[in-house]
Amino acid sequence: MNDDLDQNLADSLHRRAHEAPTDGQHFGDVRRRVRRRRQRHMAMGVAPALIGVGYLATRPIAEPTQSAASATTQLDVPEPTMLMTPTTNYSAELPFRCLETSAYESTDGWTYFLTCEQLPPMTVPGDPTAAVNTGPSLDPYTVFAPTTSDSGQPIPEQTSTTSTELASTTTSTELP
Amino acid sequence: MHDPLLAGSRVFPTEVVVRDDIEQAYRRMYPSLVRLAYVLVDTPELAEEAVQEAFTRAFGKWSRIDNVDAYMRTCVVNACRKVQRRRLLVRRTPQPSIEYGALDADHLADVVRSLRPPMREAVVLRYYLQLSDAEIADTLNMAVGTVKSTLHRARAQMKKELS
Repeated sequence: MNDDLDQNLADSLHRRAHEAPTDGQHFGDVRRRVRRRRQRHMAMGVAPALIGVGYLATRPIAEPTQSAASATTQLDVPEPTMLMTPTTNYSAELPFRCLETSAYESTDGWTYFLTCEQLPPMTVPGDPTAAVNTGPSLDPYTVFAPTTSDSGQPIPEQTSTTSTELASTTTSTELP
Repeated sequence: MHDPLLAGSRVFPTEVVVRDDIEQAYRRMYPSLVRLAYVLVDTPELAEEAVQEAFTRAFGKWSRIDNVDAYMRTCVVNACRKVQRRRLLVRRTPQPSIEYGALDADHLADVVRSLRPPMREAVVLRYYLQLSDAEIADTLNMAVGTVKSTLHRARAQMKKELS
């Protein structure tokens, strides 16, 4: 009975196999598939490369001070956590720049100050709008007080300190 | 009924290195491979697709292939498996009991078609290509014992379907 089944299976499969059309395709179709496959693979390889190059070209370059900070970290010196909040509100329309950082050591750890100054409005020769200065009259030198120290304890908010008060501890450069 | 590739595979043992140009091999093997794929996937279009895909995959490494016939056979079976997996097609056609000697051949082919993919591949390679257990194991990347058990289970399932 098994022989019958085997013989019938073989006959059946051969008969079915010979129903298949075998003169449809040419080797050119294989070449076309190969070309398409290579193009697809190349695209799959080129796209990540382009993304990588784009990232390298547009990534922010680390500041030298950041490099120094990371080098300090490598030496296992604890880096203080600083969360700076401005203690003086500047006019958003006027530019300002930060000049220098300063620090002093206390019993709670290191306390950091960031000295910033308000800049006068930019004037372009011949610009009729340059004469109009509607910004508030602020002390140009303001010190940002720190909010945290080395130990991670929040420091109570301090009022802003003008440059004259901190003249002894903070050096500022006069604008021309 | 006579298949030149089948006859060739009987004449040349698997150790013989057969090297020819891929285009000549394509012309020589295409009809046999399409028939094999057709038995496995049931559709002429999908059978041709599977054979072309197999040759496309073999194109870049043609010079490194030792046994072209066995390699292409495996490639086609794998391509058919992929097609079947994609379709997730399971056909179950319960039929009345018939004596094996008086069976309609097409009905038997339908029973083969209702088998699960590994069983169906093993049955086709055994009963259509007349391959040995070792050759089936090589083609399907199985152990010889697994081939034997798979064929045994396939035969039992077919008997159950036919009874």
